Amino acid sequence: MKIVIDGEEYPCEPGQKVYDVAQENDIYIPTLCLNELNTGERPAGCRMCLVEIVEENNEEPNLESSCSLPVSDGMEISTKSRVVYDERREVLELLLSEHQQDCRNCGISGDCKFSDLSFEYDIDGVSVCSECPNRKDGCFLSRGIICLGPITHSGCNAFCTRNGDPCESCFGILKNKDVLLFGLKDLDEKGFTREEILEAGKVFSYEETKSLEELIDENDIFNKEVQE
Amino acid sequence: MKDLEEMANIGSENLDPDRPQIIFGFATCGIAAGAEGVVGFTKKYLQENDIQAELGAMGEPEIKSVGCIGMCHAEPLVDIKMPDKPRITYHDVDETKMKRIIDEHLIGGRPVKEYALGQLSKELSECDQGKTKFSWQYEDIESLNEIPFLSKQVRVSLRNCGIIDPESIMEYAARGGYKSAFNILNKMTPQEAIDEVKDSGLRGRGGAGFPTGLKWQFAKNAEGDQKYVICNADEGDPGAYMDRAVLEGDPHSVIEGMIIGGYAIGATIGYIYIRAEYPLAIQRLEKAIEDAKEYGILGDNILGSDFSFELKIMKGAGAFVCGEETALMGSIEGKRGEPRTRPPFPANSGLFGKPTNINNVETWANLPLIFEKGAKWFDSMGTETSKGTKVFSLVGNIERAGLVEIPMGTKMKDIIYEIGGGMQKDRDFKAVQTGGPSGGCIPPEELDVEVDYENLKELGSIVGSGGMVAMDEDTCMVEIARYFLDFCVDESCGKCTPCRVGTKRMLEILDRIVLGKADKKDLEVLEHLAIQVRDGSLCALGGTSPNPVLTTLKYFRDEYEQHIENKFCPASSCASLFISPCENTCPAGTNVPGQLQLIVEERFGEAYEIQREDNPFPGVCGRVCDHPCEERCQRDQLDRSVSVMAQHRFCADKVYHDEIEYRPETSTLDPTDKKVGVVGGGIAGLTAAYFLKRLGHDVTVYESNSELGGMVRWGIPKYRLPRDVLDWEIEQILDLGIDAKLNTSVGKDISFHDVLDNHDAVFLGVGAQKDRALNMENEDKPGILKGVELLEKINKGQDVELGERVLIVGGVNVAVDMARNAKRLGCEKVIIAYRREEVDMPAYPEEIEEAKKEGIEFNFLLSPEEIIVEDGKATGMVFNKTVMGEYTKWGRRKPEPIDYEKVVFKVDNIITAIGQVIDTSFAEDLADKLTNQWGSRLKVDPYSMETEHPNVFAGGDAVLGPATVIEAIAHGKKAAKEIDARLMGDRRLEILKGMNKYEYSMTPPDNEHHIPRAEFQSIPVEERKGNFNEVIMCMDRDCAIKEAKRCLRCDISEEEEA
Repeated sequence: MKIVIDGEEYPCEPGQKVYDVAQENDIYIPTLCLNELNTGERPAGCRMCLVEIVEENNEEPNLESSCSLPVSDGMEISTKSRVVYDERREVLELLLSEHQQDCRNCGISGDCKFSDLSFEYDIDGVSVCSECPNRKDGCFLSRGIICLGPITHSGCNAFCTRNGDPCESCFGILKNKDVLLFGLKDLDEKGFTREEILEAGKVFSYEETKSLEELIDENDIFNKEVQE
Repeated sequence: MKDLEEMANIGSENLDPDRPQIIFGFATCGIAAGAEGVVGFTKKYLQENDIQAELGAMGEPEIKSVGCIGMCHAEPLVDIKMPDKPRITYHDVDETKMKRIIDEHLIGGRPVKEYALGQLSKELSECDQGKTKFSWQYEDIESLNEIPFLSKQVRVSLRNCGIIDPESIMEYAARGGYKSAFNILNKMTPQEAIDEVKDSGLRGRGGAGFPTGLKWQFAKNAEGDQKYVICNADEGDPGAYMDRAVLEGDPHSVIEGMIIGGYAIGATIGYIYIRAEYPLAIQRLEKAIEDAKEYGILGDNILGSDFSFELKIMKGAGAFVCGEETALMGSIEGKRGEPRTRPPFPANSGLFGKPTNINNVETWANLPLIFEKGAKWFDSMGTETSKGTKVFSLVGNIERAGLVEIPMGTKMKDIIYEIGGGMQKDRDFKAVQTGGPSGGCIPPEELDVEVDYENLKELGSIVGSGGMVAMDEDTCMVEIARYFLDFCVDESCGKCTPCRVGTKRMLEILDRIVLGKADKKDLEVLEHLAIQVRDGSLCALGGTSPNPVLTTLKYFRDEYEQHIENKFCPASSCASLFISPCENTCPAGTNVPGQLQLIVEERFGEAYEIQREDNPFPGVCGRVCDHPCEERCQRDQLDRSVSVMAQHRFCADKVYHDEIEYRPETSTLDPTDKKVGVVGGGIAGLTAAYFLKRLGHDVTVYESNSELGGMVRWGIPKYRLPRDVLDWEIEQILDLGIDAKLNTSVGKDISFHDVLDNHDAVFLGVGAQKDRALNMENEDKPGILKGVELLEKINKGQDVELGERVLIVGGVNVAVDMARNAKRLGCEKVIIAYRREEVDMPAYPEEIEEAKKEGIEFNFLLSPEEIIVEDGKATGMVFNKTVMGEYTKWGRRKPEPIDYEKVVFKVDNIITAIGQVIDTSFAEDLADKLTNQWGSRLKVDPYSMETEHPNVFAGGDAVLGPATVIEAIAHGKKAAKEIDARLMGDRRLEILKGMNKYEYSMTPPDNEHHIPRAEFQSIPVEERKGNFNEVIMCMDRDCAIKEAKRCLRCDISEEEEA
């Protein structure tokens, strides 16, 4: 029995799932809800492992979760088509839209699948904190050192903070306003001032610093000290 | 078999006994309509009055209940069956009616004709055995087969509903019940049974329409020591209840179907998964199962064969997702009702991992009759791909709601208009939503569709379980999409991401749209999300949940855009976008509740001013407006709408005659240095000029005639609109400092290009004043006159010579105006001929009424065929008689001429008035660029009112064709707003509107009791002849205040109330 994945033929056994065949042959398919400890039926709920069953004359794309899709002889699967990419990206975006933004205090940060995937699928929605393993007392902010992690686009795998330096926002400021706002409020709570942030933020372009300033003013952040 | 025959005999006697029967429609719908009360009353009445003694030898009347016959609009239904006579069905029965029915029909033997819906003298359904048939019929009472609701129906799965007592297995047997099961179990192999189902072409009635025979084959071929059949009775679509009706009206048909299915695939256990919200259906099913067990129809070695079959009822708690087959099976297994991925399909690994076949109630109920009458019979009904019949629950704003069973392939318009009787209150049809939350909306353009699985899918909707919600013009499509999506968000099981989160995000966008807070980008995101949710969801619930959004976006995108761009809800449904439905419906946006409240407070001057904020012609509108606002008045649902137009007139007349103090437009913005030219001094042009001047621009109006006012001056008779009122209102506009160049014809006296060069922007309000031609031979002969031309002459005071007898062809306002003018000019006989019926006439109904009073003769259903010419002069016209034919998809019937029936009118003059087109000579070489493809109208962008020529805007009749005054005003206002926005780069009309503040009471009135509407009073007919005095009189002060107090004040929101 054989199936075709991305144009290549692979042998398989009846009853095997497409995802497992792909795994055996080192074809990458991302997953989120698939859990090795779950021995029963696979939930197929997260829809991250969607693949396209390639058929002729398909008006609407035929997408199935590969973790639960049994193989059939001659089946043609695409793991890389445009619709697959778009749909997976949408799934991630939707999940992020409901996700806790507090990466700095999350136990998984530093080894977060979500963070990796959102970088892979080019989604602007998680900060460097999601990649940073420093938590609690180890966090620069807890030590009173300004670190731009909470407002910086992820993707560097927190190289600096892992190696003892605070984040200087190499990957640039987050474009997702919600997450950015959350990070700014976090910095505010930690006792940093508007001036400190804007000073550190000078690494950005003029427009970006300007928009950061506007965002701070619009949302009334860093106001406590002024009032006191 | 012998047992079955004995049972059938007893059943037949029950169905046609030798004593009287009182039969109640006692399904959930009947009970909801009050059947229980009527039953109680009947029992009491029979007992107290000792009816039995009166009936004597006939015996004690039996009180019996049956299921739903489908006519939910007519519940409670009561049938009276006298011995050897057909059943008479009475509709909308209450206690008073019941008393009369008992007295006259049961005792007296004479049916009460007024209450009767029909008689059951002929069989309604496709049943062959136990047919209802009477050689004798009551006279004067229609047979139920012939009433519009039932005549087009073909009843297969509803064959026994409303006919037999659902709790009587005998009556079911009398109608041929269990005979099919007996024959199959004893004479056919399972494979033969499956082949028969395959041949019949039956497809699953639950929604997806998978071929039933094929499904059975899979389950039969699957290997397993135990197999199951399941009946899916988890009916959850809002507005769908056909499964309930079958289970409440004919539970045995489902049981018989399941026995057949069980035998065919080799299953010995069956489950009926039914929602616990259907207690009556459960009760009747339990009774049916018990009876079947008692007679050896369920249990071991049933119906004399060696096949054993057991049936269990499983009650569901009501989660919508449990109607999905894998979730349903999970629920039976005792797990959380969540769908799982397929494959494996239930046929291979279903309930408890065993091969399972699952079908919908209706599918099961169809089967016994298919086997009784053969696959060929079933195959002969329906379309190429969809065979047989389907039950739809027709609900919504429809005249006759209920369950209808029709052959597949019936046209949608037939279902809506012929069976359903069209929309309630004669409103316009807007859309029909099929298939529940997973389905979509079908617009009027697609009403020709033949309903079957494929055709509806092509339109983006589905047949689904058969819900059909008809919606009228008052329904906002965005709100409908939001409603159904909200349902899906609530009912999503939460297992997969796209359905759990995606639908929620979509709902948030729709929420923003109905609140008027969305922007254009939201629409793109919405559409994108909808497609992603459709493609990525695990089960059909998620995969189809965006359908209502996708179809409304496809067919009603304009409505979404209106909500987003104009913050306007055309259906007056999204309450955050307007102050009241009347204000929202008024094209010019008049603050009606404000004006009415100011009248109540006796501040008449301000009441006039507040209208002039939106409309510079209150006096004109108070006389000739077609008042769309009154149609949407919420008071109409209580008693009758408020007479808004009379109030406009009252305020204007008060100011005009009594010289009540009022502020002329003090609120103007500072002068800009922009110049705007207005071509055409009609209502649209003057309104545009009025607003543009107030916005600070320098305005010049070019008018070819010697006076301003356009069609209102030249087209509307003086007895409807006195010229002094018109002159006064025009003068007020000119007093703002507008330069009006009269007797200046653009294209002749001044070149159009000069106008363009001299101004920063130009508004074209040139009207449509050329009469549309009949396109007939001899049209140019003397004796034939053109309606608009003639009206203009009369109104200019020029001499018009008409003969004694005048014929007017057409049904527009001009036709009626011309007729009434002719009467005033002394014509003896004035005849109007129109090709459709009176209700179809575009002219205002009140004008038609007045015309009739004045003795004008109306002839309908006549289509012109030939002009009679004698001595070179037209002396008459030959008409073809027409009949109103089939409904077009717009809900209007098409007149079809009957060739052999002619009508001839011999007259002195013929006047044509069948519509108007635009005269484009003003535009010189630019005419082609400005007009539409036929050259009949100017073409503009509907949002910006701009033509293809930059900075040239247009509106009024020139764009719309002969339109109403208020539409012309609205166009002028809108164009002024857009021109100003173009010139100044900012939307400033709102600033202008906010400059004058009107404070009035915002306390909700206490007027929700019946108060009669004040109607217009007109002068007596005998005073009208030979003069052009105004016919309608103004309301007096007390009457106006009283009428204004009827307003329910929809403009007061809950916050203000608090």
